[in-house]
Amino acid sequence: MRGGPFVDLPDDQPAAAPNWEFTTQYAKADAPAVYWGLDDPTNQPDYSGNNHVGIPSGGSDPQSFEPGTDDEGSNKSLLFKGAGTLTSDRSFPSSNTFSQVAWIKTKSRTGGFIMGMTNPSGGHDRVIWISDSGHIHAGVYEEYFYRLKSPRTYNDDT
Amino acid sequence: MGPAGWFLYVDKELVASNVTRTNGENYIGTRSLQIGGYADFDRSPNHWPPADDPVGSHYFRGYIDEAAYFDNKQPTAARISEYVDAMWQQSANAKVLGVVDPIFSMSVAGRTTTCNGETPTGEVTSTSTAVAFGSTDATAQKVGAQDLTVSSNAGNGWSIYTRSTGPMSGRPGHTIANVSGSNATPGAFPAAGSEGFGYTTSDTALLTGTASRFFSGTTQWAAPSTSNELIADETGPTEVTRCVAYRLGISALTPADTYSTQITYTVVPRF
Repeated sequence: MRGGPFVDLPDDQPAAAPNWEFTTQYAKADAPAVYWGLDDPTNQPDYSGNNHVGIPSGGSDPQSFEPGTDDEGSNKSLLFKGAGTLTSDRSFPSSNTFSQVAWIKTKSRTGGFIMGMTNPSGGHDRVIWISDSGHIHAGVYEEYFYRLKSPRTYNDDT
Repeated sequence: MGPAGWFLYVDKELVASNVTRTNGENYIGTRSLQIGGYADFDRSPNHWPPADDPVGSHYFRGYIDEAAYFDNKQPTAARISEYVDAMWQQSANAKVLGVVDPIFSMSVAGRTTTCNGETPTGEVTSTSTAVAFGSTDATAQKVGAQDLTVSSNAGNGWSIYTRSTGPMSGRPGHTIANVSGSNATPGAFPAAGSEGFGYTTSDTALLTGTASRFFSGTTQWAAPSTSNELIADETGPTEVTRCVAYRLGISALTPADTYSTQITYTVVPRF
């Protein structure tokens, strides 16, 4: 999970979108179950090699998504505009030991869901979100909601 | 999350943990990964966000990149640190908002002062487009020179190459032999009374071959080639003037004629 650097830019400059490329050196070496590079708003190829393609939903483009463009005009990240979701087209085995990672840059002081897992019944678990106040939370559910919360806030790039 | 507990890292910092919580939903099976939001994330019966730190939207507003899920893996803090370092490096590359446009120019000018130990002959006229030796005889060799000035912000510098259309020639069958030295191994100029045409360069730090091969106590000369050959180079952004001198000698039996050849300079930047 990444919340920074959240550089405050002057008002007359566009916010630079993240430009993180797929890092095969680390990600592939650790054999992810799913890895989405999020380079464009269409279906997301799975760089893990497991072919769990990300399917957009929750609104049609460009209402939900648009490419995050860097200063060179390259599309290197995905801007979620507050109505869109990407979901893997197929479910995959998930054990009790897991890790999940995403890089974010906020565009709003309104919090929201960042990532999580959905079981075939529609139940959610392993959820990560950012609150309106900017705290990063992680949550799991087993009879009760269990949560972790970052002490600091990470939504200063509005 | 795993047998060691449950850990939340932001950037490379461990910001929250629960070492007694080693699993989530009591369901072992398949799941789908979802990012960006889902309907009812913040509504009953979900209630993921706690009451004291609510969210105003089910959906995230901002950029998400490089989302991944690793099953049956719980990385070490060191591994997380390595991963974040790698991503930060790439992030830093993306934060450059200024663009420096490439600058690249070369100019040629006649030179009347000494070049690589050779002083141009007074009656030789050198301009940006020609070195005119004028009338010559076997008793006095002549020297002309040109300045080549390159200005560029190419990060890795630039190289200047030269080539010719062939030996100095006049009417069919009339040529003046080039010197025997080559760009790779320049040599001394022939003695007066012998034919020879060649060039030398003031660059004594060439990047390929022997760096100072055009001056080893005395000026060394190379025969012009019809292929591009290196005569000057730099390794970084700079404005530098190098000179190239040409020397002509004839024998008493060199046929009377007007001789010429065409020299082409090519400069290649390395951005």
